Amino acid sequence: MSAALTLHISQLRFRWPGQGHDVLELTNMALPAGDRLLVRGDSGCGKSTLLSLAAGVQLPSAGEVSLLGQAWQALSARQREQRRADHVGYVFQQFNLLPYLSVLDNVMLPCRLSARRAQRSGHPKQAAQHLLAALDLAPRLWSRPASQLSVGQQQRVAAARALIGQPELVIADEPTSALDERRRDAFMQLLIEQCQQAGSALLFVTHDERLQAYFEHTLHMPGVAENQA
Amino acid sequence: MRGLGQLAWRSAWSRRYSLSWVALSIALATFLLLTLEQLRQDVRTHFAQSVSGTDLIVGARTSSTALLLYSVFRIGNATHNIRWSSAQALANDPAVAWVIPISLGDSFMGYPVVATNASFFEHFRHGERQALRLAQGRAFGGVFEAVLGAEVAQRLQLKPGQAIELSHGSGAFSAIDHSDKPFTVVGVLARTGTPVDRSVHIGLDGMQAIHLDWVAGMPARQTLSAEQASQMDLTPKSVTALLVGLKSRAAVFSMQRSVSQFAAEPLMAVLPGVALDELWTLVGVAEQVLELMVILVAAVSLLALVATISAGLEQRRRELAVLRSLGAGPGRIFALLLLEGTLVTAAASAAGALAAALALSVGGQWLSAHYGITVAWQWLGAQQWLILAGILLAGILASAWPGWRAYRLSVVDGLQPRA
Repeated sequence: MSAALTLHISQLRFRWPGQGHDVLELTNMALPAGDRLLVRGDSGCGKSTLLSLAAGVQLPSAGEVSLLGQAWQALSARQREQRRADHVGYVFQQFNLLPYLSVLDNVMLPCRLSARRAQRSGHPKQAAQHLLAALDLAPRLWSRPASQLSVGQQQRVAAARALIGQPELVIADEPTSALDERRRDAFMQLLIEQCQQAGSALLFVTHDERLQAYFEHTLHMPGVAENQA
Repeated sequence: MRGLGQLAWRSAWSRRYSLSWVALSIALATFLLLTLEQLRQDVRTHFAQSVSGTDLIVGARTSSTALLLYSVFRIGNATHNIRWSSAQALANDPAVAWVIPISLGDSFMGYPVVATNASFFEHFRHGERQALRLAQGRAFGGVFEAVLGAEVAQRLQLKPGQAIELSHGSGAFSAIDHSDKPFTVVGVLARTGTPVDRSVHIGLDGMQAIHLDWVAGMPARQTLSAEQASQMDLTPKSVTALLVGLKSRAAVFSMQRSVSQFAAEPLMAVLPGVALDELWTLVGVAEQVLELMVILVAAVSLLALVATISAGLEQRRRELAVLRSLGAGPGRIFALLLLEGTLVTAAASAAGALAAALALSVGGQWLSAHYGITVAWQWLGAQQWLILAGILLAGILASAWPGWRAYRLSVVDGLQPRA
């Protein structure tokens, strides 16, 4: 296993507690630093579970998932949380912005919870402003509560929150599913551009085949029936 | 955003409508606890300071608290009087240093009239054995002269030289008055913070003079003029009570026994401190019931805080999970909810304390005007701090339960439904 790999998965098997069969099996997957991997598959095939395993939120039933050469299983729950905060940026499917915080405060939140992210961002407020501007969000919106933004705007705020402090891995869970084609393409270009600038590897989950062109690597996950066969 | 405190505050502010009802009930409980405690302290201080240096209070046989209440605090009425001859006999007892006779029953504009003699100005003590002091004029000397308490003079805008007409009986609206024999104000006492402030003081001879031409509690058909009355024998026939100072405190119990065995008429003597203790024992039961009710109000308010934060927890699973996924450990989530409960409790109890200060300063004026009880908001004494600390601690403990539930939430909860 090379230290240059941001994410490495080997001999992975995962099943929910109490279930008699594996919901996910993956022999080998490697994501080098700065690269982009698209994970495709139908609904319910375990894409989101794979992301949870990559982020150390879930632990594999068998096999190993490593981030920057460190297996998640070898760490305590507290250490996993800190490592995730320090090295992983996450764009949730439903964005999960805190509605009572302003746009800027939402973006700066990871820097409040991770000293490493704060340090790497230089000046968190300026870094947040820079990211929001780069993601084409007008300054007049920055002090508004996140709940007042449109879906497209919220999505860009969620991306800025994931990118601040230049985490080594950015995980995106179907963030374009609610967008029309024009907005989807614009968002993808902005996201990839910012990931490249930050040097972050991107693990992107979608069931939309049309996004494949933006990625260097693709992982196709079998459907539920295929998986259980 | 700066730190956890601001995050907790913003989160609480976003749910201000549901939390404000809880805060209101905590503020109300704080208000009640602080007000009750201050009133209890001030009333006790007021009562304790109303008489000092008096060894015994002597009156017709009744309960010791009743004797204390009507003789010192002008609350209630005596059932019987003491004959003047008995009063003189007691004054001449070798153990007695001084006697202040008190005759009650009349009033002026609702304020009680206290007939007494010069020994009142000489021997009466209040507070920390402080003597009475005249703020204006002099003590009464003539038959129809009066000395006003500070409150009476201030409220009714009276000064030495002005004439006043007393009413027969007590109460603000007495139907029968002594207008045929007006009194002249000759002095005003300095404020004492005791019932003296709300009294009109005249001589025993003055009290006798205005009742010379009265028969069976009603004015006679043929009345005497003030001048005619002054020429007559004005030795009182009876007085209401005696405040007695002894030459030696050691003789207090033997003197008390001697009074209770007084042959000429049934009398009793009470020690002011003991009678006050009896009064507090009596009042204490009601106080405890009241305190218990207020504590129950506080407990219900804090339970409402637990219920509100716990109910909100279900809605906030995603919010808390987001924080967890961004690096907030379970300890920080626990601290966040604890801080939120603490902030609500602190803000509510501060509002309750302010409301108590306002109510006591406004209500204190009313109490002072109507009962002569000085109630003053002393900005958070030790007892008040203790109450506030208790409420805050209870608020923190109440928030610990939802905090603990949130602590146990897995980071997966709220972010990812089970497949």
